[in-house]
Amino acid sequence: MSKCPGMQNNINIGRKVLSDSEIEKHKDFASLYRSYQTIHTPLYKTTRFITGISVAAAAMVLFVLYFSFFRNSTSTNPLNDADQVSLAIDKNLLPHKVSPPLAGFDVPRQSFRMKGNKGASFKTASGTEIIVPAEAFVDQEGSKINDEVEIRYREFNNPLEFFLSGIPMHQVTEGQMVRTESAGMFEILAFRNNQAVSLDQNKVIEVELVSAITGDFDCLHLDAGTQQWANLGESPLVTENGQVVASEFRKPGTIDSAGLPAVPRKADKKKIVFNIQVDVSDFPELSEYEGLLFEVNETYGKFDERLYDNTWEKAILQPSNVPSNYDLTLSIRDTSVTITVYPVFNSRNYDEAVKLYQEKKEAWLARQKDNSKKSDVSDGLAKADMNGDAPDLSGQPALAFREMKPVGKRHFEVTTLGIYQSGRQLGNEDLTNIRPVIIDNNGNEVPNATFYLAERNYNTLSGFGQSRVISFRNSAQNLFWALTPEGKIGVLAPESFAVLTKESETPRFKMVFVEPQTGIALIKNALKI
Amino acid sequence: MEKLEPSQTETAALKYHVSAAEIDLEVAEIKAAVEDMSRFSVLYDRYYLRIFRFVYQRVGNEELAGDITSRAFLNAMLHLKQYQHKGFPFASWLYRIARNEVNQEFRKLRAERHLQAQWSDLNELGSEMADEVDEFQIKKLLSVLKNLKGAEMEIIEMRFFEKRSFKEIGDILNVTENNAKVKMFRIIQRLKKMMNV
Repeated sequence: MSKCPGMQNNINIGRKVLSDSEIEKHKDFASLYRSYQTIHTPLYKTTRFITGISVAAAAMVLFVLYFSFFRNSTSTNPLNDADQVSLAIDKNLLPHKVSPPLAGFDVPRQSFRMKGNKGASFKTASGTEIIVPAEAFVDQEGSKINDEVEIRYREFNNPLEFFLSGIPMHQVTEGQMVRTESAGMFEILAFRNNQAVSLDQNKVIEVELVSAITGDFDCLHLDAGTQQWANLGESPLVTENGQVVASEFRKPGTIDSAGLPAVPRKADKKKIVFNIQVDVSDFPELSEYEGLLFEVNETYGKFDERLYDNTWEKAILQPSNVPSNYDLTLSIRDTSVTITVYPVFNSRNYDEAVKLYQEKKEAWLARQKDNSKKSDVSDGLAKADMNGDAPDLSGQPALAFREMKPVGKRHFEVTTLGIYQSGRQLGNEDLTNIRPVIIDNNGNEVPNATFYLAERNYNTLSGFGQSRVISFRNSAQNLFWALTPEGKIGVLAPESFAVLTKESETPRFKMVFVEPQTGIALIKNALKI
Repeated sequence: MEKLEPSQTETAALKYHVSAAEIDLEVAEIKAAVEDMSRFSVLYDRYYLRIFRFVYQRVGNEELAGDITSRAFLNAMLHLKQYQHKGFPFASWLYRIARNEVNQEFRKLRAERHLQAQWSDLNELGSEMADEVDEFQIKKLLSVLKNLKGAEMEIIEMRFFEKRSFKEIGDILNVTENNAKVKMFRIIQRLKKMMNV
């Protein structure tokens, strides 16, 4: 894109618009064609060409021979060829100093090959699109690379991937460490013959990153030198139907509270609504309401009205990534449609629903207050205080970690190869600090473990090393795990964490330490990844 | 405030979207022109008005616009062999060439950028900033627009003054449609800040 630093834009308003006939006066294809012929006289018609042709032919033969004999036959991968790269990249080749905490468990990369002198676009396994312009890469001497370049790409979308990659998830603001919530993160690197190459300073790689989280986030780039996240500006979400979403859907601190009824909304007569019989045991927040309908949230995709009269065989309602919304999947034989919906009421039931909501909200708030007083750490720890096998976290009904489904794309302009994310800072308000003591399978204290915490309502990861003080938002069912220097992992059941309060200054977490594979599987299960 | 009829640039921009059959036909016409450049006249006739208006919108001088438009078409003819159909209308390739020619002209002459707008365009842009737009706000908008970066102004120009779709803006700037939307969103946010809205 052209840059005109310091240049002013002169805006002329209401200036005369030229008519077609006025423009036609300038049209002259015959003259243009003559100019073309003058410039474009074929070379073979010149005498210089004929005398030089024998030399060129000889050179051509030699060139072909050179390629037949010496060209490496393994470097003929087609464009857009993607495969998983299992081997870790030599640390010295990385533009950043991120080091994964568990050797051999780093997040794998996808590999794409392209010709350096040509542009290319790739679609990753997640659906992210990468658009690379022609002549985008330079070698260490700054020379343009025209031959094959390999792009290695990977994404980090959840606390487990943040953990395995070792990417820092905090930012330093006004001297304070602040954790970062991510709506999607990626690393993009480029290599020629396994040697790292750089992006030309005048070129930009576009990345359309698939994101599963709504809300306002900023583009952040991990600065290779300082290892700090640099803020590059807003990172709006473009939804599947092409709408740019900038409004705040979920502010830090506004937690989707289990058990609190949904705020009633009146049905919009112009929009499509569904009348679905909901099993309220699955959706306690919807119980008690009469005459509940579901309206299509068109921000996340429109419902094809032609399908409205279908008699669907099956309707599945699931919590959506968009707070207070649900994913409704309708299916008939081989056809299925998923749309995002939110609960609404027709005018007859609306007033009653509002009244009921107020009552429920007050009761819920009172219950919350009461619960926080009654919490007994020892009750909760009993579940973590297990002997023998590692804790089975598969049946955690109250756990709010859930599958992440794409809701749109976030756009990045990559000007330096490395790690980028859509991120936002989470405040340090209302944090509870504890200094847990970790007890292993044999009843011994584990002094040197590093602690990790995945917060229930935020897509982030906090790592706690030397200080051994962990801070978290109260009343949240967070997932806590510890990693020993030997690479063993101990995972704490989330409900054990939920009962910790400000008074639980030094809880004793008796944890079963397991091999990394098992530990990773447990975390994965708990996070529903 | 003066209210004018929609300009002819709007009609030109609307013609950008073509059917798959039209694109196929055009690809055949391009192939024919590569074989025999005299057959380029079909494409020249089809796009001359649009490219001329695109250039004139930016340089504000009829003679200069005619000259730059000719250079743009000559360049297109000289490089037609290299043209690869990637699903975009041929027009976007021509617009890109014309845009480069205009930018070269600005660099060569160190000339100031000229943009043509109608009051209705500014009203429309203003309504992106606030629910109600009055004359005072439009004047303020005009003063802040003057200080936008060239690249930012170019997107405003294409979207609000020329009524181009995001798809077309993306094709001309050689970026994705989403990128064009995100860029527009950021510019609007910046304008809002500059106008204290």
